[in-house]
Amino acid sequence: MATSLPTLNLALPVALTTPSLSVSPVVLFTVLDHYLRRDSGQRTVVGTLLGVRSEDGRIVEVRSAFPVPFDGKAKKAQLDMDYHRTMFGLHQRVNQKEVVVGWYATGKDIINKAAEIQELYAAECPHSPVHLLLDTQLTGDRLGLKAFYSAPVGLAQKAERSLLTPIPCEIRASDAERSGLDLLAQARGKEDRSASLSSDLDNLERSVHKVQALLSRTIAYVDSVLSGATPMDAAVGRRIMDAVAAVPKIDEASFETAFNDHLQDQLMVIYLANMTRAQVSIAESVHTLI
Amino acid sequence: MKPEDLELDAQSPLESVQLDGMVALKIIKHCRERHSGTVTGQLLGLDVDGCLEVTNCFPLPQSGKNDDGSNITIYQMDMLRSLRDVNADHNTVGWYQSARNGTFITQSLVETQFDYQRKLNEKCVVLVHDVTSTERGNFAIRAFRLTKTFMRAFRARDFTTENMRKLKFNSASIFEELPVKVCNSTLAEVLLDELDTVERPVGCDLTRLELAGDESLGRVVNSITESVDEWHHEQGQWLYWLRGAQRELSRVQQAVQKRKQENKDRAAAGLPLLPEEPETPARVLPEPSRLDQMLTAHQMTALAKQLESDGTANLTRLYAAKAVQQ
Repeated sequence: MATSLPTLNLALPVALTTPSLSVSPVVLFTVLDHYLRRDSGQRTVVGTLLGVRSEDGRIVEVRSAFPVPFDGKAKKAQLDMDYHRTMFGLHQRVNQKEVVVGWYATGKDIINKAAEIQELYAAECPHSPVHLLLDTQLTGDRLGLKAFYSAPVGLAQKAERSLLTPIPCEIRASDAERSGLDLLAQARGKEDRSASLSSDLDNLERSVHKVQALLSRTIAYVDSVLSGATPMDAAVGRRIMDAVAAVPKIDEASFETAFNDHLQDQLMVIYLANMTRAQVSIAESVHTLI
Repeated sequence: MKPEDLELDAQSPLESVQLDGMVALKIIKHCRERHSGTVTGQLLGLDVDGCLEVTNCFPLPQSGKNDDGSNITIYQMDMLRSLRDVNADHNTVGWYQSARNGTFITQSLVETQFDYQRKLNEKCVVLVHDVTSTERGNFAIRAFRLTKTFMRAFRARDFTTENMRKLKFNSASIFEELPVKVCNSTLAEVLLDELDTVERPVGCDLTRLELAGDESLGRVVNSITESVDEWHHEQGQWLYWLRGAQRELSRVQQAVQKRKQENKDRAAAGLPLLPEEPETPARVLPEPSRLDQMLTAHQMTALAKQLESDGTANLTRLYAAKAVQQ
């Protein structure tokens, strides 16, 4: 019975249709930069989200974003879709894999033109667009990243009759991005909000200190459990056992040999590197002499 | 700003480069999208009191085989116009390039940077982002400019030994490196605070301790060996030229000597003297440009420096592993 199909659709549990969403940190930085550079008097900014999406549209990965001029005061949503298309075309030339997956806005609540904008973006991408909302007014001292997905409401498939349902959103950074974020995190709390690039060794030193701190915290915890000050927790205990067991068991003699071999290799490389540098500078001096 | 101020500003030397957090992340994203080859992009921003503030950037498309570059120019223009529409800085301050294992010094990099510094703005920089190092948890980006002396020599394409000596020029004085720092907006600070939770800390302290640096160390050693070979090859070419030039010069000298002797005899015999200039002037080939060799030397020094610091870091990791094992 063809007429009963829409009812069947509605009966589907929401969990089955909600996409899983992950966002790259660079997207959030772009949104914040756009908000900082908004026109005076503009309350909210809107832009396009680009990324990749699985074939059935269930898994969405937002990888980049760009701003789109938006006039929130007009009666009808004035989103410059020509600008959006130009910019999307330019992005496509660099990265063809990334397609339009949704749009972002700033503000405490979903902006009141959201339904119209959602409709505009629905025309741009094959699956229902996702919507990211960042609260740049910092209500409750939080940026409160929220993600939405439109679910159809009612029998007739009309864009105005959709409901923006909140969905969970995960922020995922790659290894490379994490090292960038690591440096950015160092700039926090400084007066000029900036940090210089640190060398490999400085970073390593921080890492070692961090591990030391973690170890001493664990030891303190274990001690306090042993002395009976803290109640025992089997889950934590198992985790600690796992961590200890992660150290591979090698007998001392073979470890010593491996260690020394490796040490010599490393020292050799350093020695050769220094030698090359010396040779190069000698060669250059000789060249300017003859 | 008064016109004099502007002029003064243009003269004040560039001392450092400041990257906005967004720019750093955009560069990282773009560079890791391509696994082979290098990627490039353009930097936008302003220079304020000797500090170049990079506030935005965009990637450049890979140029195709039969592309004359005009497509890219149109792309750049469109992108700049679009960015201006959303109040982003649209003043070009340089470009960035990705690198792997520290090999980045090539003739094309020098040429592009030369064009940027000459045509666009003297204060343009090139940012070199080492993808391999960043993936190992150590965000490595360096800013370079060509020195004034080099610019002058490169414009004249004058890379003869004599000129090098006159300018006291060596491979170390091709580039000047500028310190780089990153800066967050206040809102970005809030964002970072939120990202940095106990369960998923924002940093990558533990990635850095992995004992997997050997492979990349091997690759650096490989590329340094390649550089040495290249250097040797160029040295051979130059010596070949030198021998040829010397042979030619001594041939001419001999001819002059012979003529002098002959003239002496002729003077004794009362005959008219022959002209003393050699009949065939010395045909010395032009000296091959020393630029390639200098670039290779610079590359070697940079690689050696990297080997040294990588090696030291690896030693530290090794001792840390020993401590854990005990």
